[in-house]
Amino acid sequence: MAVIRSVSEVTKYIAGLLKNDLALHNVTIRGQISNFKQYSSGHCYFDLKDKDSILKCVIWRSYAERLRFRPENDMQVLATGSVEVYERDGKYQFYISRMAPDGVGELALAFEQLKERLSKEGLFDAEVKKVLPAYPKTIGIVTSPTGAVLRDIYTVSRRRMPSIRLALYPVMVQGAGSAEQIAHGIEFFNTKYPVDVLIVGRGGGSMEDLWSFNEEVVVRAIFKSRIPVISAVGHETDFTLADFVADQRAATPSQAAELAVPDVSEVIQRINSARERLQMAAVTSIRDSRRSLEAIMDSFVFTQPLRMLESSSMKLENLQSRLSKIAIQLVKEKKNRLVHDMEKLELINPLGVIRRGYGIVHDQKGTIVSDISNIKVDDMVSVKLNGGHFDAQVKAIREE
Amino acid sequence: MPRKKEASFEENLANLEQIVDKLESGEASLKDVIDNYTLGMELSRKCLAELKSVEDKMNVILSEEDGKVVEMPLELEGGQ
Repeated sequence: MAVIRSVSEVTKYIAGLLKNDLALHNVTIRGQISNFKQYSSGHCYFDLKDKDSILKCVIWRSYAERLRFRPENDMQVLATGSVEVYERDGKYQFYISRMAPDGVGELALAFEQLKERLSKEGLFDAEVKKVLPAYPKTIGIVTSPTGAVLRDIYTVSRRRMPSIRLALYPVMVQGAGSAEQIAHGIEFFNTKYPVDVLIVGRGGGSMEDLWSFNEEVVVRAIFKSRIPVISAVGHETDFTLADFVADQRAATPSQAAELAVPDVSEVIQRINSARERLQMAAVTSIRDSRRSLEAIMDSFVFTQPLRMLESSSMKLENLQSRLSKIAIQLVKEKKNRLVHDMEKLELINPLGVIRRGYGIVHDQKGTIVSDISNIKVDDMVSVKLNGGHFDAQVKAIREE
Repeated sequence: MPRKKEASFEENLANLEQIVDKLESGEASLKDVIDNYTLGMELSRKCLAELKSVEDKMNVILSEEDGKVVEMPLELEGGQ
């Protein structure tokens, strides 16, 4: 009778067979990703397949973190690792330690993936870009303290604007941890050392050398910066993600300095021209005012002031002659009127009547007797005539 | 015209060019012309002084120590 074995024993045996087969160790397998899942633990589980077969795959978190691109379904990859048995489930799996896209470069793929993701988030939108200050006083620089970048920025900015001041936050610009340093430098200026504009960059190099400037942490730090950022990653043709997110992109550090500071000789020219225009305007204005004044002074009012009186004196003479004519006329009229009135007055003057031979009769009380009925026989009356009066006694009355 | 204590270079420059435009329009009174001319010359003098100043503004290299900012002079060949 055959020997009876437990499930574990057989499984362990198979596991041992695979473990001892060097052909299954450090092997690189080409395949297409499907059913990709990454759990919150960070471990990744998926299948690699070709047209005939499927291989179960695992990437532990510690390896998954080192992947530069994001594995996606249908992606063609080259994965390196070892095939082992997962005893609990009784299945063999491919434990992957390294994985790279097949065909396209790993970095190129990573670049495209991150670019697309951040672009969707709006990090590269033109309308969020900040305007560079026209006249910065201090430029913050995040770059290597050694390379030519700093020198170029210094030379160009100083030539254009002698008063400019540079503040360097030195960082590594490639290698492990460099992206974090660059991001920290940007944040440092924003939180602890305010400057007017930032230049973030490095000299030229391969895509691998420039890689820090494609890292998400750097891109996000530039995006978050309240200080305008100029990227200066030294290469003309390819863009880094830092270039896409920066407020301005310069192809070289020298160009970054040109973008950052104005050429003061141009500004000085502008100010000098303003001064000339100012002088010209003032001189013109004063000359014009003087001319107006001279024109006024030239008028006959000032040159022959008596002419101003000519018309007045003529008017005066005219008025005088009119006045005297009127006066003579008036006096003449008044005199005529007076003579006339006097004649009329003479007619009603009682004394005038007396002069013509009439008498006025008063009774004893001195009242004028103007009617015959007011008198009786024997009344004593006084009669006034021209030159005096006499007393008389009424002898008879004859009414008429 | 209300003037701040310390106008920025940009403000002074903008102000200067405004004054020039105003005077060139020929609409200002003689007193205005003289006042603005004086002010404009003063502003332009200030701007020029600021641009031409090469007083040693020290370039610095920065670091952090216990969260504090440390400034060290930044030596650049042929500079300062």
